[in-house]
Amino acid sequence: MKINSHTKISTLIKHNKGAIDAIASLNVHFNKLKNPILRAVLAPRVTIADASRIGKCAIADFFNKLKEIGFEIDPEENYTSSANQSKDEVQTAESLEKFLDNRSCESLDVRQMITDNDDPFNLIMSKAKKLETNQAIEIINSFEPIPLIRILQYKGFACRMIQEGEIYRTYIKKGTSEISDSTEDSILCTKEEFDSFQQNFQGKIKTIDVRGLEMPLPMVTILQELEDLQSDNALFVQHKKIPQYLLPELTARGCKTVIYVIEEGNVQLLIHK
Amino acid sequence: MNGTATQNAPSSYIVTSHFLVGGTAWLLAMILLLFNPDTLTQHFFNPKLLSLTHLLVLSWVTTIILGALYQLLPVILLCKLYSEKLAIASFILLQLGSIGIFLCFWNAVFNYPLIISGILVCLSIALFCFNLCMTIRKSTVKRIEKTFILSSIVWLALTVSIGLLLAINFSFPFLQISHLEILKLHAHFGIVGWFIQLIIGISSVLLPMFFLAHNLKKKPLHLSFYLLNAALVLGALSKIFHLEIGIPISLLLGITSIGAYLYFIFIAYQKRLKRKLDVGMKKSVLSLAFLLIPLGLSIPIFFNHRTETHFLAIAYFITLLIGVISSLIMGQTFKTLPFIIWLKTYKSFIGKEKTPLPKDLYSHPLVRWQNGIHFSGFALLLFGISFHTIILITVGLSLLVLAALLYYKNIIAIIFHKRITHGNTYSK
Repeated sequence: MKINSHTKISTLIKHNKGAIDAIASLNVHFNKLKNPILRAVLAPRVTIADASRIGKCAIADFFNKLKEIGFEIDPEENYTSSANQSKDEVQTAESLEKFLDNRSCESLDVRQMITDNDDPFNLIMSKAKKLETNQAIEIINSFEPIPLIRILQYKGFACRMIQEGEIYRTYIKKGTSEISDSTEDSILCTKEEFDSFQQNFQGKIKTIDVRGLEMPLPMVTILQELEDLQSDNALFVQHKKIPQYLLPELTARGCKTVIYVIEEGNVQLLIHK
Repeated sequence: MNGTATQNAPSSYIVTSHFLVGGTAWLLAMILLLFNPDTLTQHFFNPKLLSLTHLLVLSWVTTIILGALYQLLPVILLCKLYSEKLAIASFILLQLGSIGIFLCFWNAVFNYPLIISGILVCLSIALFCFNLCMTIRKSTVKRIEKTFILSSIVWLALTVSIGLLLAINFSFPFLQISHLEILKLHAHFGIVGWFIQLIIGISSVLLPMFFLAHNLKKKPLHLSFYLLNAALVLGALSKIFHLEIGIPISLLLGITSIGAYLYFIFIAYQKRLKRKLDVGMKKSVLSLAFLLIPLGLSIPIFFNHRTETHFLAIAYFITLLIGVISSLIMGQTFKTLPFIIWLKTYKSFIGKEKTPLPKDLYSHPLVRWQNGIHFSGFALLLFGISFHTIILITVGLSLLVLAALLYYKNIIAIIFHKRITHGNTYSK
């Protein structure tokens, strides 16, 4: 199988179970992969590039280990491409003060939970949802929680991360326009991510199925539904494909789209304003 | 979790310029053929027939296919065209080269102007191939349709390169093999390797999409792909190395390949959720059924290749070019072109007010008349060629010109469509 730095860890494991041991041997952080629950939660959210940053090892080390167990490295892979990605997220203490701006900060140490094989994701998300504008949360962790930060940012939260030796502190507050500008208008995601986005709109989702409609009725139907959609609701669409001609119009109308491709001919979209 | 591009759609002028020029070339070629019907009763190697064939394959078929391809690439490959500027440059070079070749053959000029025109076409195709390869590189989807597109442009590049070699061979004879044998390769690479293969690639996405047929097994398409390319390679090698046995095997492989493709479309047609087909789809389905005629004709042509079979050869190519490829293009035009114009005109109003649909941008009665007249004209033409009857050929061509006029009227109405409000549309 050909891989590159964007290949998901779950894809590697699915292809070859040996990848679990190979990756775990790189770094103690990756022992978590041996735990089936954590593996199920983390592996689909993390790419090789993410993992190399979390575990603080070079992507090249990853590739070397994976090559040993028979993976093929995409020859066009550019190792340096992801090196600077976390630069914006790792901030110094001075900018933290500015970031928190006198907000009261609740601290949540999730290291024990992770050691006990619990996934703190839902706990963090439920706390984040309850945040007021004058509040913030501090998450203390033993690795850089990149998937969490991405999902939070996509949902409009602002995040800052500070590293102190072995400890990573992630600060979360309600978002500002500065952050929402930096997120994508449409993203392709895994089933777990898609489900968590859906949970965010629980009880406020309208579902439509446009698979049986002739072109361009799927587009017309979706845009009509969006016109009537309340601003805090979301539209769940069963589609046949990623709608290439609809996406530009969704962006123009200020909508965000999460896309989950189940298989060819079966795609789910979650659109909100 | 990755961001996905939201701006993959091409600029509409890229697509419309191709359709406008393509439609004009089709109408022009039919009119010229009507005034020179005797070109169809002579040996196929006559200047006017060569001239019109090149106008048709370059400025009509290739041009429209490229235009449609630019519109469909984002849907098939899920990524944006590498460069729109290259697309326009390639389009202009193609038209200049095509007009040059057309004028040279028409006036029986076989030296430098013809070679220069050939070079222009080759440059145009080189730019197009580069553009498409760079686009395909960006695409991560794995689909047999992508392979069809990639493989068809290899044959396109081979076709125009051989064409240029033939043009040079006119003035500076250097080819060791008979000019006419190479001409057969040139024609088959172009029609089967480029047109038919690309049509298989695109229609196997488009037709099931418009049929609303889901979960189709793609095995026949894979089979069709390998057999078609094997047939072309074997056919070429047999001609170059004079392997007599290779030709019938190649023919058999080719017929099986087309059969496998038609089987795939037939299954899609049977499984369709949309039971009643609209006028554009009816024409498309019928034109594919016409593929059976050249398949049938290819067998007597093969067995009689030492006797007088020019008229069969002409019938064979006319069926492929006018009966199948042109009819399919005329049918599918109404499934692709209106959409891009509709999107450009109405995208910011969709959902907010009552807007027409793409199918409201043209007149359906005109398309129905166009279909009937085009197929009757084609049938008369085919009989006329088969029985050497100039009068039948002339009547057939008159009908084809009339159908081309109706087609042209509709595409002009689509391309220059002005926004209409309050549901004030063409009556159906």
